[in-house]
Amino acid sequence: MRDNWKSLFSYALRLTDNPDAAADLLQSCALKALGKLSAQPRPETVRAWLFKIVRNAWIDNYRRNHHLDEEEEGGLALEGIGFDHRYADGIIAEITVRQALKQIAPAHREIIELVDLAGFRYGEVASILGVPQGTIMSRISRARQALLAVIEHENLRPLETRRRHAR
Amino acid sequence: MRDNNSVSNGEISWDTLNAYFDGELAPSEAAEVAAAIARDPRLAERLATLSHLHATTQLQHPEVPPPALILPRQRRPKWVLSMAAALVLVSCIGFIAVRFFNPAPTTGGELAAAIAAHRHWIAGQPAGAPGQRIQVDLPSAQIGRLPDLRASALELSYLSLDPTSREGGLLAGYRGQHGCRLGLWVAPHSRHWGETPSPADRDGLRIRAWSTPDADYALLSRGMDPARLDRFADLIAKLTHQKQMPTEEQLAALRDVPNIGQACDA
Repeated sequence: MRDNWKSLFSYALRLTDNPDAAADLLQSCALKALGKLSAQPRPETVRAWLFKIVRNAWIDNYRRNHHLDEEEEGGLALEGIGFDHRYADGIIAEITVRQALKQIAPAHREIIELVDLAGFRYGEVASILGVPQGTIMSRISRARQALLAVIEHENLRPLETRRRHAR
Repeated sequence: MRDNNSVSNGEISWDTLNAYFDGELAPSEAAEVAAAIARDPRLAERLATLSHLHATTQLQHPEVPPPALILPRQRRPKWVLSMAAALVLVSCIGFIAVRFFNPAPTTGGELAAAIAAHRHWIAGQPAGAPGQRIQVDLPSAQIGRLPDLRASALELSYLSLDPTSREGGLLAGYRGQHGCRLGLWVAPHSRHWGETPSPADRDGLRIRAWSTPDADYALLSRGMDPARLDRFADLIAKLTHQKQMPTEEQLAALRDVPNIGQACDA
């Protein structure tokens, strides 16, 4: 758990969008993980198991106050239809991605967190989310599509670019 | 892994390109996609976009640091507490039975069982242990008649019974935050000791022993400062005599005990 603490916190933060709630979520995860030591899976699957505990704890504690559902997930994905998916490097910068990540649907954020940041394979993400592996393939592509859509549609520009435009 | 708009019709879909980028395609499919990318510069640009997006996303770390990892104390199942309570009850019945059938005081080796039990606890292994001993680890002092020493930062963490021996006996093990161990031996009454604790050090252990009308007690430690052990013995002896919850003054005294003498050497 200690080795995965930072990435678990990043995931919890992505789910809750609140540092205090993420910290609470992590502590409850630690409690549940220790309480389930007898059910601990094989070493190679422990990491996904911990993420799943975080997610389940979040569902138990917070989901009733949030609205993460398929309708929300599908929203921005439709905007990507017909996209060329080619962007100049200057558009995709750290700050634009950071801002766009805050604007896309929580479900998109979650799968990007799991695949791109936590580095899970599709099969592992499928076990965490409790969906078929094939679903992950379409979900991650839609999530990245939504991310690119926000980056372009919101006309976000890296700070340096904006400064150049201001001159 | 292949989506509905995959490479079958000659077009590489966005889903497939993502799966290719993530290394999730089967080798044959990945080869097809790689060949298509080599032929189609627009596809290569899409892959470059994907790669750049992934690399930039990986730079996104939380803007706030994670909280400190505080591992909670492992909780034991309730059945352990129930079992411990049952064992204590059995031991109490054993004390009464032994006292009734064998009231004659023992002589000489009255502390041998206490020392053996304490050594066994410290060693933490069954080798050389007295036979027929039952051990139970306890999460907290919730078992009634044993003194509650949490005011002195000592948690009841071990219980060892010897129900088959005629001499009987029970060792309650208290453990401090830094590993300090204090054993309290309770045995059927032999009237061997006085009402107030007296030193009975032997075999490398510091021991304070006393008797109440109901039982004999011995407090054992290997590395506790003698002055601190004396104070503990004095307070615990009073608690065993009075058979009631500690007073506020006694609790305050228990809180002060860890400040007496040198740090515990387990």
